[in-house]
Amino acid sequence: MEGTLKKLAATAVVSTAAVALLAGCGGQTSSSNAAGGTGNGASNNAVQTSSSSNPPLTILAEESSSWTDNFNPYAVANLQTPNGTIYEPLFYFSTTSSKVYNLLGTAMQWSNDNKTLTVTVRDGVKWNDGQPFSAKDVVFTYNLLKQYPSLDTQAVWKALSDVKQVGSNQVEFDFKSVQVPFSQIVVGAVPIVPEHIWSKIQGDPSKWTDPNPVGTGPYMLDKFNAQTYTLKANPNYWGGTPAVPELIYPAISSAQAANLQLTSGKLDWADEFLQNIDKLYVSKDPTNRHYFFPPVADLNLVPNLKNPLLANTAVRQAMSLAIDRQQIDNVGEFGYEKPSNPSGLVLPNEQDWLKPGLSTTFTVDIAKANALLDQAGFKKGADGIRVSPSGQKLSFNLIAPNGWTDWNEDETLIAQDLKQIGIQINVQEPQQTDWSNALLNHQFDLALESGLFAGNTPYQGFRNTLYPGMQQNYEQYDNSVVAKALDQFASTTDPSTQKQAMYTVEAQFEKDLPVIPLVYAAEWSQYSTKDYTGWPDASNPYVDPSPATAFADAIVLMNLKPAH
Amino acid sequence: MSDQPQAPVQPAASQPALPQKIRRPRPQWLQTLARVFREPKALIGFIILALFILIAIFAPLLATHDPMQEGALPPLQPPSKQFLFGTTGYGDDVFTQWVYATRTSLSIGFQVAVIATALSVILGVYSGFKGGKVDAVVNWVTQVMLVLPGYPLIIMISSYIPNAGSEAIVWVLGLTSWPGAARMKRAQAMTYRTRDFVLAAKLGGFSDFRNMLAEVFPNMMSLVFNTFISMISWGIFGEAFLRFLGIGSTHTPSWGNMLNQAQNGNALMQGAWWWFIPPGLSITLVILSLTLINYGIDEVSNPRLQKPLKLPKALRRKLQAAAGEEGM
Amino acid sequence: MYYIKKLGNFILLVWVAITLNFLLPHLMPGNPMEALVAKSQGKIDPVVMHALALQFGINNKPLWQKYIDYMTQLLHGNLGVSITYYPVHVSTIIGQSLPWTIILVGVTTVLAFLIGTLIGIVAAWRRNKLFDSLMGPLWMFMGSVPQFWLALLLLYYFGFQLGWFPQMHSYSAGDAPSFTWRFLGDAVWHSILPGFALLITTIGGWMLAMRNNMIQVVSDDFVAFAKARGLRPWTVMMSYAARNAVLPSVTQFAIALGYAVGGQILIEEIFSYPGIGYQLSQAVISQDYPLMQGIFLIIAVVMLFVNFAVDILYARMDPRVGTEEASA
Repeated sequence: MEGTLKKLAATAVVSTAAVALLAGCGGQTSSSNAAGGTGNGASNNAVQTSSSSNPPLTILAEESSSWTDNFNPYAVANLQTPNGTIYEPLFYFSTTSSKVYNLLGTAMQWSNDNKTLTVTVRDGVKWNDGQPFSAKDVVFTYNLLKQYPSLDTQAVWKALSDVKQVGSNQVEFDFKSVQVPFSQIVVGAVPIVPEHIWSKIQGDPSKWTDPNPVGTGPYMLDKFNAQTYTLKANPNYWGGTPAVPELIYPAISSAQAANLQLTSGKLDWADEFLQNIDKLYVSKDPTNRHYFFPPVADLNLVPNLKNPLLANTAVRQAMSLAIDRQQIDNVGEFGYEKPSNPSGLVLPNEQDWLKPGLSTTFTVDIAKANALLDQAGFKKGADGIRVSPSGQKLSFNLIAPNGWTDWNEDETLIAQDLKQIGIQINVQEPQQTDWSNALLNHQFDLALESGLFAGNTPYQGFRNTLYPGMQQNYEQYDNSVVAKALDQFASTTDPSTQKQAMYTVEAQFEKDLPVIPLVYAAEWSQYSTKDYTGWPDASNPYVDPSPATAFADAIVLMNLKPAH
Repeated sequence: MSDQPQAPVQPAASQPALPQKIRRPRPQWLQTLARVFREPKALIGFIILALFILIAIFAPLLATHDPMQEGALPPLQPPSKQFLFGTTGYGDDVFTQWVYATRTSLSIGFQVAVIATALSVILGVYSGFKGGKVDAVVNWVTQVMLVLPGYPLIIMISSYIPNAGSEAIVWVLGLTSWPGAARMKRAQAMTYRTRDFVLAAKLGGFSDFRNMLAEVFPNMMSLVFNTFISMISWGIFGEAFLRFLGIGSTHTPSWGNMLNQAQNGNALMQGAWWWFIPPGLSITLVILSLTLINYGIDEVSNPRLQKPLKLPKALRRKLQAAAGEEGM
Repeated sequence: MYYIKKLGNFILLVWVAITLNFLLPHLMPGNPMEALVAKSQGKIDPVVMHALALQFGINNKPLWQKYIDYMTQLLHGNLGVSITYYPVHVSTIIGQSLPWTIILVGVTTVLAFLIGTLIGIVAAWRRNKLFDSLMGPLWMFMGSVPQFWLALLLLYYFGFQLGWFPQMHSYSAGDAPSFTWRFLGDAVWHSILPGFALLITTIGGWMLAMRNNMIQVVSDDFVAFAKARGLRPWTVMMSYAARNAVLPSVTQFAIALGYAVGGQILIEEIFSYPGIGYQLSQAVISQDYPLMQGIFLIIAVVMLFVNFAVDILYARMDPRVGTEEASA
């Protein structure tokens, strides 16, 4: 796989032409051109000849009770994110495939022992107010983030030492140390803003609401009110005019309200969790209504390794053997989240990184679990709960955030499973904030938590959960072999070295079970092919299919073609 | 309370002109209760409430399935002989959940009522009767509490309590719901401060505390009972509200939790009315029964609400004549 | 003198409410960044916490310092910047949601008061006749239905199944607020389901209160005289009896209007109605201190003002109050 940056820079440069080509490949999904459909919307019967007469798309990305006139791309809490549609980064690294998209950048080149990255900036790009875009805007943007740390929401200046222009169309990024994987964040997650606008802001730009956003993306703000805002196609877009002329974003305050809208056919693209989706959503218009729930991370049972009982590998192995993951998928997650595998990788996305010979399935084996615990000296007490040789009961609290109903259901299932091997689980559902605090402060026995949805190599996920001192290393795992392998991965652009490093981590993970993977956390996405085709799906998962994923949403939109 | 020693003096004769309610009535609340039962609306209320209380008490006997067995049954089955109220989308028996929920919700309602009523009586009666600085402080706190928006305040307080179980919800609801009732009691207690029989007791050298218990409190029994009944309603509504919003543990079966689960499981969208209707209808019926009971008490204990005596014809004619003479 | 005292009390209470507003959220566990990271379900990297802390101005200043800052800002009319909608000003958010709440909740409160009071008047006048025996139980039942449960039933049946009414929002997408008949009609159309749920469940309270007051007045001498004088029953009912009986209800009505400013959390959420109640509950859940404080402040001040106004009104109508309650 062409997963390393160096190779990407040299060969796998996906041009816009290639994007269009990919969309063509994706066209095999457009077997659903049957005209008529259920006739849910009246406006769709017209024959589309030009792009401007194509119907709009109604999109639900985030639930919100109302919109505010705020399009600042650096406002983290901003629900109506303009990232992707209005503002673009240099590149986009897909998290569901190994694809890299060239946006405002066209090439990357490593030098200086992998400490300097030179990016070539796209020519002929215009801001949506007609002003020309150049490498100067890129340098301005990064220096703005340096000047105002409150804008640096990806913490890129933790790794960077300097960003400067080279020649007329190149930008050089100097890193403090070798951090090859992190460069994906540096050049792939920072929206570029226009110098001619942002240099004139008085004071801290993070406090500016940017009501009339000027970006380079395929869309620009059209109409705004607190209930609905619309984006229209940017006529100056460097990648050509998008097929969808208008995007409508209604504010919907709750998941239930959103589910109603979705099943009523009033949303064309959404990312809702919906039970029995085949019956409730798809069955009402099977030719046009689809969903795609790709796995993006592991949902883990996180043990606190500072707890002496949970620090015992035998206990963790026994737990893992006793948990019926298929049942968690079927009952807790409605069959949407397949069981995880023992390597810690998200398969099939990361299949190429899998160490040959590692097992790819967990099996339920109560007898073996009991045997493991017996061997380790945990004897069953009168109440059926095992007791350690030093007299401590195998009884733990398990926390998951209140109101995350699928996880709450999972908790109960886990408790039932572990009861069979003499481990008592007290199910608790604190408020989200308390759960998150308990994790951050390591004040828990067992917790449910999914990894971050990030990175197009397994590196970032593993580093987050396993590297000592990382904030997401909630279990406090500290294994020098793993840490060394991760460092090795980060310091090289050579694919075979990176693979070897990953194999080491996977083998250690399987042996130690620092966290117990349960099922793959899925990304939700529902879409209608009534008007447009070319959506990411299982046969072509080119990017994350959720409309809420920043930057990926615009790539999906640029891949859409009229269905008629 | 009727066992309390009678007040030493009762100078009823000194105020013959005033209507009977100002004259110190005897603590006759038992008698009142008997009259309440004769009021048909109240009787219906008592019957409905009793039915629910019986269900709550005998929940384990009535339950047809194991309430703790998650996902064991086929999901979304309509009501049948096997599943009286059908099953949920998570494969639980609705009837079983409902009988246990009845137990939880009613007990939350009663506990909230005990806390809130006790607080409102203690604070309201004491400050109203006592007056002065104590009164000023209590009245102040009451006023501030009254202007803070109730439900948001409750949500906020609930977030202090991680993994809020039923007890936490009881305390949150109980501690936030007394001010209105306390204000009413204070107003009434204030009117007793200067009543003759109370003044007499004071002159007789009895302590304030004794006077309150012996003289004031018995006279406020109907108001206290009224508060208690209203607070049960408040507790049941409040529980449903909080749990519906997803606050507090979702593992205890309660009406609010059932509604929350039904809503999260898109019960109505899937046509599973049997999952959504029972808890909501139960809340409605219990609140209705409490309203009817309160209505009955009011009707009986408030003399001015009593059914008017038909004036004798002669008297009516006389009145008519008098009015005529007065001139149009 | 009485008015000055009342005004002083009012100002003091406003200050206490503001201080409480400030203190309550700061005593909550956790902070908005953690709430945000938790809420993102893994989509916000904890690495960004530093930038978030800078954006939200979270710092370790001592509480008293923050209090002084808060009060200074408030005196300048600055309610701060919301966290949920960062960097939008709290006043902007309140400005865009309060009008919708006032329209929906305000109008239904007025309607419920008018309809309920009217039914109460007639029911009391025709006490124990058919109208009374039908209306009493009917509205008691309606008042016992949990509002959000009814709202959901209405939404699923009339909004989703039948599709007769819009499922959400206060006006159609693609429209902009304007004073045209078309827009107003559209807005009314959108408010029918939520309005109906609010109206139908609140009429009962007004009706019962009015009926009770009315029955007490009806038995008063002057009504008997008016009747005896042979005035038309309608005139006696409306101009003599109802006019006097409505006074306590008007007080309650003023307070209810004050509460209306706080919005209706669940109704607004269920119908994605862009009002203030839902904003407030969201602010509480995501620990958006500035937004929470801003909305609490508005509600508290409006409520205190309403109470103040009612007190003043009472004093003007009943001079005895001025002396009797001066100690309060």
